[in-house]
Amino acid sequence: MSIRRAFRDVSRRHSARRAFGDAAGTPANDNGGLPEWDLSRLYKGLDDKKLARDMRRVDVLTDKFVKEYEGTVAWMSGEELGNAIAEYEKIEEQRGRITRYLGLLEMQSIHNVSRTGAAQKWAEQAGARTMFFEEGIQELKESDLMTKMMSPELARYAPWLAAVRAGNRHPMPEGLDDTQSGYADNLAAWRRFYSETIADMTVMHRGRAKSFNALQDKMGEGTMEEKERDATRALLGAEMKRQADTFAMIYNAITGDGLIDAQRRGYTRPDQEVNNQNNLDNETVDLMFDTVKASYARLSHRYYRWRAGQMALEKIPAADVRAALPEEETRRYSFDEARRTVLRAFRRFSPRFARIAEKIFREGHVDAAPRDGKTPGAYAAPVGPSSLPYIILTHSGKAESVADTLGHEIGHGVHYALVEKSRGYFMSDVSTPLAETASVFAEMLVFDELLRQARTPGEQKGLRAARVENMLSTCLQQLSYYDFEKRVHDKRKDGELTAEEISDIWVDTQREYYGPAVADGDDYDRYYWTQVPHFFDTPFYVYSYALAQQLVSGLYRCYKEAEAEGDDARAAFVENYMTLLESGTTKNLYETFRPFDLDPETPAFWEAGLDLMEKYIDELETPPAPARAPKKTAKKNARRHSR
Amino acid sequence: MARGDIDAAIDAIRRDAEAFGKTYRGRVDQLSGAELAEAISVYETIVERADIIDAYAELSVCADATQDVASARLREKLNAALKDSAFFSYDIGRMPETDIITKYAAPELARYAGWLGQVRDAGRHILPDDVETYRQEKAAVGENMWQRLYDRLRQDMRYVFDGRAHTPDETQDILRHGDDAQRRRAYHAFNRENGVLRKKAAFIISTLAQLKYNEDCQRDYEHPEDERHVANNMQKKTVDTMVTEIRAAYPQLAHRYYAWLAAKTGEDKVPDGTRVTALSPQFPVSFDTARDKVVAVFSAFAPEHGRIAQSFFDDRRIDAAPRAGKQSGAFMHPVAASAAPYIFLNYKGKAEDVLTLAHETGHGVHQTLAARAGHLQSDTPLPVAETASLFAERLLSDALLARDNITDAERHAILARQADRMLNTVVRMTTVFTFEQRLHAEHRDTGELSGERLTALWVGALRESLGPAVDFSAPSSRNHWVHMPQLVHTPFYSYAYAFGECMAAVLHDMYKNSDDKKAFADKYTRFLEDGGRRSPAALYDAFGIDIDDPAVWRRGTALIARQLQDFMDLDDKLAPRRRLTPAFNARTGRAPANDKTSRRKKQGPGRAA
Repeated sequence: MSIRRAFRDVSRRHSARRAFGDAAGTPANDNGGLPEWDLSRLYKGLDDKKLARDMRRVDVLTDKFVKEYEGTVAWMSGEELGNAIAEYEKIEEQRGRITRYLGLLEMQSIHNVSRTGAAQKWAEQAGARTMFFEEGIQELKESDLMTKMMSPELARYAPWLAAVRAGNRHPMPEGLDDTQSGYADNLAAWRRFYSETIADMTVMHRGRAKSFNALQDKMGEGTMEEKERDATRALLGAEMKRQADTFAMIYNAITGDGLIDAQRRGYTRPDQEVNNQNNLDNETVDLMFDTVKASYARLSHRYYRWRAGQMALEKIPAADVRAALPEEETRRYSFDEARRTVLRAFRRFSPRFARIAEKIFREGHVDAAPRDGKTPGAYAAPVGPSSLPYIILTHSGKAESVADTLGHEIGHGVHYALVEKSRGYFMSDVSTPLAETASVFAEMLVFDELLRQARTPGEQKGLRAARVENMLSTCLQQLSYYDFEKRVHDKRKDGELTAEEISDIWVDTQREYYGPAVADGDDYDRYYWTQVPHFFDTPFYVYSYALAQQLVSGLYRCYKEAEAEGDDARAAFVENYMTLLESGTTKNLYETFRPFDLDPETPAFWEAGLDLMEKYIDELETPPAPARAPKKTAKKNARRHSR
Repeated sequence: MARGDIDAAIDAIRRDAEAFGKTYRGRVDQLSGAELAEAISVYETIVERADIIDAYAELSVCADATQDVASARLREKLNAALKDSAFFSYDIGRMPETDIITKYAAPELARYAGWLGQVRDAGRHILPDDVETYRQEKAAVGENMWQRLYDRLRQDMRYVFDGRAHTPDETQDILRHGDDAQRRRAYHAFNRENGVLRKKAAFIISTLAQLKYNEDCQRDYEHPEDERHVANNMQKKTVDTMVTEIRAAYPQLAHRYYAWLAAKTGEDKVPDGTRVTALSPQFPVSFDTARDKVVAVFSAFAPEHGRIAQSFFDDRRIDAAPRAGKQSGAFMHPVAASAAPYIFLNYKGKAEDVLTLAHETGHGVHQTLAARAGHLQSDTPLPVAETASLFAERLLSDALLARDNITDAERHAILARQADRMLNTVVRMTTVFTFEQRLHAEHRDTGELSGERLTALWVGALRESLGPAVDFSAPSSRNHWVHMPQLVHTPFYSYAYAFGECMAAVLHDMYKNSDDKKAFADKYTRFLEDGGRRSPAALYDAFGIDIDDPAVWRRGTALIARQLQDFMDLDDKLAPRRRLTPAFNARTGRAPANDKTSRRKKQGPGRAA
């Protein structure tokens, strides 16, 4: 019930900042002309008269709705219920536009949070007044609902009805709802405390207090001298260690809170609620988990062994897992180049796709400039069918971030635009795996485009390695993060965990992922779990990345095969894919993939995605285009490290 | 206690709680009065055993902060073990009056009348069982966790001066007791770095205010302080009367004192935190001397009190030696009726330490006497408990002042410490209460409060109570609320000290003027014995005091104003002019205002108990 709605209100923004920090990036040096949002199409500010007017309008509509329908849901005919839902959708859409506007302001700057409080409170209260409606629908007898659904006015809302009623499959026992018990604010407060703690972290750097995040981002650019980088890592690691107990306390609070409710709702496992929200059976999630975990040896271990070889090392030091490869040429992309690359990639796939993306850029819906207080990470945030979605990220200039950040978010953006237009407000509320499918597919398109644009073998090699790393970290490493969450939640059932116990689990899961060719890290690596917002904000979210990468890898193979087959096959794929994006919540995941002959319930489905990754690793070891002799590389590399 | 013993004890508690639940759940209202009394006595033994383990968990953290997680685990287990007996006090509380009134006729039940009264009063605010259980589980990751977080963040703060990092407690200790140069450095370090914690403290206080508001709505408490009043067995009217009278007396108390001090030192304003003791010499007192003096005072009042006081030292139920890693502050822990209470303090040989020893021993004597009413009724409401401890301090001061060969300097030292304490308990603690009322009211009005806003509220309340001759501009003064754990742990706790000080002054005055000291002592002993089984109103009524009468509070504040005046007169006699030590007299209160509340609340299994 209210869970679903709360989810709709706040968390529907999907992030490209997968659970590792370095990827976020800092501005490139040539960052002149980075775009910022133009929110004036929504409202001119919190004191915009239009905002007050819209709030009043929601109040008026809500009054009318409550007066007309409270207590009557069970007595309505199908047609009446269908019409009532349409009215409800309209109110929710208008309310949603306001709350999402507030959300955008908060993303623009954390300093806005104190100003949006009153309006957020209004939105919450307005929303609470219509809660009876979804509750009434949940309480309808199935046979009753079936009869009502004969009416086409109601039938068109079938997917939404299913989602509303799914929320009630595991209801809280009477009287224990968070809003009734008074604990609704607790979890939200812990999450906010987490993000404020992260934002406020400082270290003493050369005698001056410096923002932890800024220093971390600077290190992530990869331009530091080795000595300076190691010193910075040590500094950051020491600060993470110092605050580890605080983070452990926050994490114990969040996981403990979740477990209490999961138990009351009768969930058999801590991730079941997320699985339900994703419309996935527990078994499908387990199948994916087992298949992917079994591939560590042939994928991540093998990749890092290759990487170690390239670096002429037995084991790669933890600090160097993301270091530039020898012979790798890195090209910096200005924002304008990045934008053009993304558009070109999209245009090659489908002109319609590219047109929407162009509009997103043109109309001030992208914020790429660095700013004090700006949300870390990258997000695409929909505001409802009346407007294009908004994208926020910080442009780093790295080639791979053109794909995995800008391409990813614009991919989300195009998806939202398509689905909201075709399905309206309620039924565009897609599950995370499907949302991430759209964005990761866009990444793949952009990577191909980047490879096409690469001018030298060195540049190509860098991109290929980046693509494999991107896929590995999206799929396998995020899965290891999920593994971490599973293990922590499992232990949490028996009581609180100390910071060291959590860190041990973390180190174990990372060691399993990297394999023997990567050395154990230092405190920076040991306490890195403190820096992964997903663990705190959206438990078990991370597996969606793995799942989506898997789905996309399978899809992308189909696309490549269709492309090879000829124009007709290619056109047919594109059409099927657009249909997939536009289907919104009207189809479940299993139905969605049927047109492509893909079935997530078979191990072969998951293997197929892994096979594509393996193919890309093959291409690294034996590049399709000529490359220089690896021996020379190794020597050069050894020199570099002996410095 | 050994790990295995505790586990076995918790298992036994779980078994007994299960058996208890099986026998009584759902049929409390069907019991006869005698049967109910039997059930209460079974319940009492279960709760008492649990409280002993709970006390152990708490005291281990005091001795060693790294025991935090281990202690939290222990408590989680303990709470789980008690789950099946939690219904009991709730069911009693919820019973319709007609059902329980017939049971009251049973003589067996009479001995539990005090506890029953409290449970019945609290009963109006009890929620259904499943909600209570749920709330309790959620509190572990809610209120309790926020409190632990606050403690940790505060303990993690470091103030760098004199070439090393100091904990907040070490810093406050130096601010109170260090030499001038050292205090100046500590003061500057404290002022420099206090802001770091402020934002987080404000966040935590705001969150707790929100959770409290939610709970108050659910439990039907009208005012933020109502829950504390119920726990203290106190009427809102009483406390409001007291606060009104104390606020009306601010000009005669702190305003007059600080104006006198400013004039005397030739300053426009004196910095907030200038302690009365800054004017007074320090006298070292060995622990043995202190112990003998304190025990002698109790013996002189009543031999039985003296024997009880002595037993703390004989049975080593007092931890007084300062050690590295030991928590600062002082408190008495009741533990359980069958297992005598413990005293914890850091004795450093200063004159004020002797008073602290008397204070905590006063609590200890009280607790020992009150335990005779059985475990459930041994829990004295705080305002009454603080009367006993502050009364003990007054007896000690009397004894010291009555010495034949006392010098003016010694007399000055004693009066200074007494004045310092009274400004703290009556004025400061009432200021904190007002501040809390305002912060909760504003939170209910406008939502989250920033650190800046809390500081504004705090300074506003201080200005009213301390008057125009005090300067609040130093960050350590403005942000002092950051270092008041009672805001986080025990909202509205502070008024108990003002209550205790005023009542101790009145009782002490009655004692001094009474012709039959022995009769007064007997009456006072009964007052202590009845601490947990009669309401404060009834307890004071035995002395002919009506705590709802404004005149009583006017009498208390007038006595205190008089004693402050005595100190000023003596000081004027000794030195017509004084120079104030520079503006680094950062205020750090004595036990009540400081980090430790001086009497530990029993962590009963349910709020109603």
